[in-house]
Amino acid sequence: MSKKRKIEDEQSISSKGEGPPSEKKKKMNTKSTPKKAVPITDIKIASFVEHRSVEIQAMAELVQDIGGNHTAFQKLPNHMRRRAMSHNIKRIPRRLHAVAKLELSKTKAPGKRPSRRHRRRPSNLLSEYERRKRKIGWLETHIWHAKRFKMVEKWGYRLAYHPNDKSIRACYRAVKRHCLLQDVSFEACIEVRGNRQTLLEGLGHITSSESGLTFGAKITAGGARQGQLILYNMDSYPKNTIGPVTYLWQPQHQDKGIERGPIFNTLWISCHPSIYKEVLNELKKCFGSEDLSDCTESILGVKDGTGVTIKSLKDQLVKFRLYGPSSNLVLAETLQIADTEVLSFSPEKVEESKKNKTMWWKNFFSSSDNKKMLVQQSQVWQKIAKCQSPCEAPPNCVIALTVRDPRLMLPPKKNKVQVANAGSVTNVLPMDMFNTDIATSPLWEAWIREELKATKISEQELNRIKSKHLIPGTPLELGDMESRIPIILIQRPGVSSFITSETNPSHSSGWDLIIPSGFAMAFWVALVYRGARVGGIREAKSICLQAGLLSAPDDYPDSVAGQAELKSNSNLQEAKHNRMPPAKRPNFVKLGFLSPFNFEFQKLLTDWHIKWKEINVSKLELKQVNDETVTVLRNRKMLRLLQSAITNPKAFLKKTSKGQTLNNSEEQSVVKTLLSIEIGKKLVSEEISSLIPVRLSILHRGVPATYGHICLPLHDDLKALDNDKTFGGPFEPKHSDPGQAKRKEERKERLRLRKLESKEIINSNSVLGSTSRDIIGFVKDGDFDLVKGQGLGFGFCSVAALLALIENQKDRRICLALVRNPTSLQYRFSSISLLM
Amino acid sequence: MQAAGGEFDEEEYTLRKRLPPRLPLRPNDVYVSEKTHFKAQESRCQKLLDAGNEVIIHGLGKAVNRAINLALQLQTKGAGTVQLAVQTSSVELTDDLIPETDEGEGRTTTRNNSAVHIRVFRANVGEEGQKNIEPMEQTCKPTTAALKS
Repeated sequence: MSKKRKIEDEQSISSKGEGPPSEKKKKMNTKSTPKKAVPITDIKIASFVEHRSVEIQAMAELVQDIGGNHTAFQKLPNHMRRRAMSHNIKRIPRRLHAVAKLELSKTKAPGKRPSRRHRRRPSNLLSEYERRKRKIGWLETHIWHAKRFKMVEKWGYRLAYHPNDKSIRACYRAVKRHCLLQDVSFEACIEVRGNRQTLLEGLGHITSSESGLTFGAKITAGGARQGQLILYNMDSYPKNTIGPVTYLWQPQHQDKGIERGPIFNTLWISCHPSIYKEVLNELKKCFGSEDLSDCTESILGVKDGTGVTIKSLKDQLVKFRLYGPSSNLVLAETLQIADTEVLSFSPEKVEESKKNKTMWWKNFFSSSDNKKMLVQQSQVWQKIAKCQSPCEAPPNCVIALTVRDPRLMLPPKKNKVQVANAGSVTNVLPMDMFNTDIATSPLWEAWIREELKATKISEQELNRIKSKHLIPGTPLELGDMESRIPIILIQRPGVSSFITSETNPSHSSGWDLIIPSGFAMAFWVALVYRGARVGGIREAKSICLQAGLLSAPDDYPDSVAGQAELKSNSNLQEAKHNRMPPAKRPNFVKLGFLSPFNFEFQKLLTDWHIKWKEINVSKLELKQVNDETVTVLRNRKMLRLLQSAITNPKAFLKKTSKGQTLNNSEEQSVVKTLLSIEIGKKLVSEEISSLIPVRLSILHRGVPATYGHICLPLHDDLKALDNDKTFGGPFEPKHSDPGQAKRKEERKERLRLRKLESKEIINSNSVLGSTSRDIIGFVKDGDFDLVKGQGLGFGFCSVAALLALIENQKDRRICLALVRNPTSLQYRFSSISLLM
Repeated sequence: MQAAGGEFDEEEYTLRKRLPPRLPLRPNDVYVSEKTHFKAQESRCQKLLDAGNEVIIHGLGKAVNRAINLALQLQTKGAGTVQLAVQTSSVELTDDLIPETDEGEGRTTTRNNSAVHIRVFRANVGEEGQKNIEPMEQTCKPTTAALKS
């Protein structure tokens, strides 16, 4: 409406402005000629006409444009308009017919949209889905999620972010008491195959034994346990982190290997999709392959010398993640052990059935070894299914099973599974129960996976069989036709071992269920029908925060993928801030936040490095800071040392100084104590300017927010807290905003000015000294912890700053830090501990 | 918290406690923890007792004191109608030792911790008069279960 009105206004203005002068000119011309009676020879007609023609042309053009971008009949005055002019050209004045015809021919009527009934037919719907899938990856459960979830584009996939119903607390309760389910099939798997020794040599370049176990760890070697580690770029530890991965060795029977001669071992490395390409390229580099271009091809490099095959299994396996104590029950109900008895034991018939390609299991389980394993596996599973929490199984243990098609045992209604063993007592599961045999699975074989996919009974076929079923509702018996699906279950211990003393150690423990692709929906619906609640990325993140685990990729700010994620997040935040009207935005200059949408890790590290030099000037030699890259301390020995210092500084000093003779005149200091220990010395000299992940538990009120500051409390603050236990925390004095007066003067340019000024300030100031309490780090994530009913945060601090914090509070039993949110002047006390 | 039973080097292993194996989880089984608010536990037990005339309170290790306290509170509130039957046992707990070095193998250590199971119940209405006269101490006498080796 308003647009139209504007256009009309313009029309009237232009007609008023241009109409009268031309008339005046005419009048003047006619009046002047009789008076002066200029002889006609004085006018040079040719040039006169030439000039006028230019004027007329200009005027004609102007007149044509009047009325804006409208069709001919839309430009008509109101009284000349008729109904349905666009439909019937004869209603337009005759003089405009030609113009209207031209215009009509340009606009082409769109073809009729096919009816909804046609569009919703299964085959047409599928082709539409295929078209949409081409742009971005879809998980197999995509359509199920798209109906119920907020979907976001991330890491090359369209992923479920959070459920559309009100569900934050419901999801928390599911994790705590029942079962939460998440589809994590986006995690990419890479298969590396070769001689074990060769593999370990190659992979040694991208791992470090200092930051935890490596691929060669004995505990994971048999394939009975899953391992976790952090990958680095080729030989560049501790810099250039790629990110965390989990790995699994294929279980092998030793006696078989001797028969075969050269032993080939297979390794599955599973990583986040954001680091998938980097991992793949780095793996190729490890085994000397220079060809990095063909990323999409499955079989990448087969070198004759080493015989290492790297194969991408991206999107070939489906992975579901279950959290919570009832995940055992839900899985036990869903996973029914398949009947793989090969009925005919006579060798001829076995041969016959082997020829029958559709039944991989007849072939596979005809060997007595495999059959024995199957029996063992089902026995172990029955024991585990009776446990009341996944945490009763050993951490990261692997169980392989071969199960029935879950579509055949689907309960008629969605229902929460009840505690099955209400009256029974479970015994401790023995450690040796989880051996290599239990973890051996046919899922490792590519041909079995392919065959499974090919022989899967389609939904349509299944429905047809069901409709012909004599007694509806009774379970179907398909016999040999039914798929026997090999799956792998991997236990996840949940809460990080660093914080088990604080929280329930079983919280968020669960299982990872790996199934062959093609069967995702079958299992998904079956799990949901047993009462598993489904969560998305948001839920997974909040679980990670509460469990004290780092989530890939954004909790790894020293990796390329992590930085990209942080950058995109900060861009989003800034755009959101700029969308608000200026009066509704917090004035970050006044609040003393120099970079409300960025983590200034680089500045923090350099500032603290300088400060550290000033304080401990004579004592040590320091490694020069590299200005470009951020490193995160991942050396586990150093982390453990720091952890023992920070959890109880007083006890730490007492314990470590026991063996040494200290001069009584000199005061005890944490730095000196650290320097007396070898690993501590190394920490101080090498890692002083790296970041360290910390967990913040707020003492009283308040919830930490992203981009908040972690600050060093003054002695007065701590004293105030000691005097008054309910002291909520000090206040930051309001900062002055030099640009405010100027902005008020130039209201029109306010928006632009504010943006400019805030950027200038960021560039000119350093992190230290910008606030009344020294900044020691930044809050990465914060949330209300439903376990404790208090604020919980996770952030990164500088190591030098953390040492300063411990030094300041060496007489205390708990180290305290201050946390301030970007939108507030209030500092909050929080206890601080380390994370790994 | 008890220290792990087996000896281990802190440099080479991290300790991870597994959950204790759970005993029955019927609707009237209450597992007492140190972290839960005492009043909340009490009101929960009281409700169960009022509804079904029987609650079984389990306490493990540090929570034994609390369990006993809770049961006695219920008894005093019951004004003579509530009786207790106590049994003690020891529970085998498992700790996982997760190796920090590549050479280390996964180990578990087991240790025993004492537990108490208190059956708090109301006698039937008919017997109530007689039961009230009986001294309470007799029913409260704990029976020690044999320690597992």
